[in-house]
Amino acid sequence: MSEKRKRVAIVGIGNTEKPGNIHPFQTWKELVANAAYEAIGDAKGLKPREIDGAVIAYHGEGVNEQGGIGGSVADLLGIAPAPVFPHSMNCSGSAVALNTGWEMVASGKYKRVLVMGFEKEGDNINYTENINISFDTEYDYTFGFRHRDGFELMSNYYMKHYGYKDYKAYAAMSYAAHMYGRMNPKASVYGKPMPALESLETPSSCFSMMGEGAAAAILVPEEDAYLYTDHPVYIQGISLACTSHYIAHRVGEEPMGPAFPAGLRREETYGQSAALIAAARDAYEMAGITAKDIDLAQVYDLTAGSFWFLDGLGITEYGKGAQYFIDGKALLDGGAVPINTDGGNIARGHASGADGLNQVIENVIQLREEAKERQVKDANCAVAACVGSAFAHMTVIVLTNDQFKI
Amino acid sequence: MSAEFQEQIYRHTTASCTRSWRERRGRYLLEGTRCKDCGAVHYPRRTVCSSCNGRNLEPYRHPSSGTIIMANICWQATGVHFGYGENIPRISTVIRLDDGVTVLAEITDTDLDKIVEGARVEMVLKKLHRESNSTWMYGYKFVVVEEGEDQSDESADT
Repeated sequence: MSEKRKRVAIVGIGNTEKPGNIHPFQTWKELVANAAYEAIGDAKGLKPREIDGAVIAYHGEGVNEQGGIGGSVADLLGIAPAPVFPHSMNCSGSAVALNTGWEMVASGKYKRVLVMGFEKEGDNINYTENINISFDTEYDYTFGFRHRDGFELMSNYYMKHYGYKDYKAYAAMSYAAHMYGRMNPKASVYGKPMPALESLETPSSCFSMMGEGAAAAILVPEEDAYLYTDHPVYIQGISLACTSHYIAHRVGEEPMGPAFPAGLRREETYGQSAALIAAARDAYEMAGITAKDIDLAQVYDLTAGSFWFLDGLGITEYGKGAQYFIDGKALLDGGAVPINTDGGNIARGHASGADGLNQVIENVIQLREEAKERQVKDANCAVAACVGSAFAHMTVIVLTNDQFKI
Repeated sequence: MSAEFQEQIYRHTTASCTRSWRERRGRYLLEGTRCKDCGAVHYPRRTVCSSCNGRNLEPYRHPSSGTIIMANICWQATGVHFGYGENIPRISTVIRLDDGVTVLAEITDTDLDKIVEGARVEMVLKKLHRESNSTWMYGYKFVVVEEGEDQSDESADT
């Protein structure tokens, strides 16, 4: 990116405690309002009515049985007639919402933008059925396939072709997540006993803790950041890449047209996500960084997903992502890039519509140096990468603070 | 027959017959598309060519045999669709058909230890599940075949 782009600052954050739990006494509106007002309160001096634009992500009308959500949210938060743009992009929804929020501020039209995402799965008896609609549906959902099947197919493929024969990598990844989760007061596992490493050597220790929650962030132009906070965090690079939902396309016909990432052979991508690699390259180019500049990363941990996230983000070579966890490098004292410092989906909890923002919120806390016992030392550049459906939409977000030097 | 699929449906989006009827040739015959401009073949059928962005596509019937290239057997029923809850384990595979196209499909009537990468498979037409509008869905599954064995007679030529 040759021309210098105006940066957007994150000056307020808020999210639901224990996003891996069901919150039966709260409606989706209460979850959203609580997170949004926590973020507004975090941006010192910001008044709700000063918000001139908003974005909200959720799983969509079919899943949450709440349509036309923009109007409801503007009314709920008392920010009408400010526009509220809706997104439904599966688990990456709120990271996609952040993309839109960034564009709204970067365009110069909006000055105080509220970005939100939520999940309220317990309100829908058919949730497990309906969440599978967020596929392409004609040839996968109709045949009884779930996102989970897609993830497991790709995981088996990755583990087999890179020579991982047991569940040690899943155990190490899950163990790291549980360690971090016990240092994060907002994580679902906080205060609970730590599982033994050996007990996690199972095919199911790599699964998310599904739950409900909301997350919110306030975006303002870079020049206004210090009006609301002493420790602004900047969106240095941001990208969304989309490809086919159909899992067979991962190893079949070219899903991304002629722009398949260079240097990667389609027939031998072994569960690698072409969309992730494209998004990472785009976000790094915009931020002017390489993988070596990254101080910590939040990735979407589900099955072997974390492993090919590390590969795709360039933190490890292709196929070495699982070994990275086995070697303990994801931990605070691992001597490398700490991964999922809030506990990730496994231990923080996975409220899918809020997930992308929960990752960003953890990075903001780290870059503000407010993470206490889980603080990564000298963290100035943090990456969050999220997935929607089984690697159909990939987001990569690079955040930096004032100490960051390229 | 319906005893195999008895599951309560409370308030669920009611499917339209038209929607599954439109895709009948894809589901029953493995019919996708072929680009008349660049020759690329696709499955499922496309309306824009994924290789050259051409709009000049024609129906194209893919071969009904292929090879398993990804396989997964899942014993956990979490998030399983209505109509599939009794059908555990869920067997998912990605199959490369003999013309190179890849298909997401279930394997049926096969011992689990034979569902491995590299196994040869042949398409069969099966009853899938009962839709919320009470009609039955049909579509392809695959069976693992030994070399020389031919199961295609009663399935692909329907």
